[in-house]
Amino acid sequence: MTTPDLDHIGGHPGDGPGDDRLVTQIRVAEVAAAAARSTPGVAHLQQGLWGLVQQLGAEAWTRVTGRPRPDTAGTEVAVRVDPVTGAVTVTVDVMLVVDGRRPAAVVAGDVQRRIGGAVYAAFGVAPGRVSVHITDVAVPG
Amino acid sequence: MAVNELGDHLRQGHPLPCGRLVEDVFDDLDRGRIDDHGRTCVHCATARRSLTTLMEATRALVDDPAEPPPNLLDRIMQAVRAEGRRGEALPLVPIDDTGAAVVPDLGPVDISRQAVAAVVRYAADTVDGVRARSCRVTVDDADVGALRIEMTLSLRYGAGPANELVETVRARIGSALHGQVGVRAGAVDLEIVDVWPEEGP
Repeated sequence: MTTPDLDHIGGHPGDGPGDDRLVTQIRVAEVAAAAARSTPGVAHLQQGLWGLVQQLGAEAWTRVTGRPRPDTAGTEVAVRVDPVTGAVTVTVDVMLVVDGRRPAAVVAGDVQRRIGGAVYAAFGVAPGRVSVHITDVAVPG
Repeated sequence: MAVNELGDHLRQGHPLPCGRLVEDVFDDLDRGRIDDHGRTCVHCATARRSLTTLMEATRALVDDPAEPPPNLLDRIMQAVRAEGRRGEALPLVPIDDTGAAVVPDLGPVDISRQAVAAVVRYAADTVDGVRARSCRVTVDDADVGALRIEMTLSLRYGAGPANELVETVRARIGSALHGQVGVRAGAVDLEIVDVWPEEGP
């Protein structure tokens, strides 16, 4: 398994030592969300209750601190590092609405491939699992 | 159900790469205590710094006179609806443009039952003289990979022979499932439960 140096993953300039690791999940989620949003047939990403709580918190954080947080709505990422081997496991869950112009099953397959490719290109780690949950199909009216 | 799911999520906590939960680090910070692991672990140190900033920001927020976003209620309702729909999902096999299953398997895909029902109902409503009433979508146990549809219909009197209208509805449901969802229609059970009079000029 690929074992990239996490210190090279994401992070803001000026963050303290180790902050890179803490922000990794947000960085992966940002890349995954962008990849999903850019997939033809995706109307928008849809967050659940927990995602909304996170987003409202992020908005308040930005308002108070002036530091922006990336838009990761609808995307949940888990990054695990094996403490012994250092092996990295990334899993992505994305919840979205499709526009109905392409079959949802095709859109879902494209979303999985795009997220996998984008995360690998950005961080050198292929997600072990990309789960796609389609909550709605945008039908006219 | 949605509240339970949220509760489950919160109970699981948020593990740091070292295995300790962010919630435990916060608890220690709040109580002003620190153990040997916390003193030497870079992950816990990072979490403490971030949590300290968060606590400062939280204090600032308490005094923040900002009004809630104007679309907050909409966002909450969308999130509640999405959460509920996520729990009522049907498995979906991801396919490519040729209809072949995506290889390798990158993970599970599902679609909410209500989303599929909306597609099916819309397909039925496109037939002149037909209105969809109730709609139930389930996995067709007798046809692997297909969905079973049970729908009741209302017909307009004079719109045409009922059996022809029903067959048109059946065909459109099949097309919609294939074209918008990417699955086959298995058994499609249609029942006419009402007839409404043709409106005058």
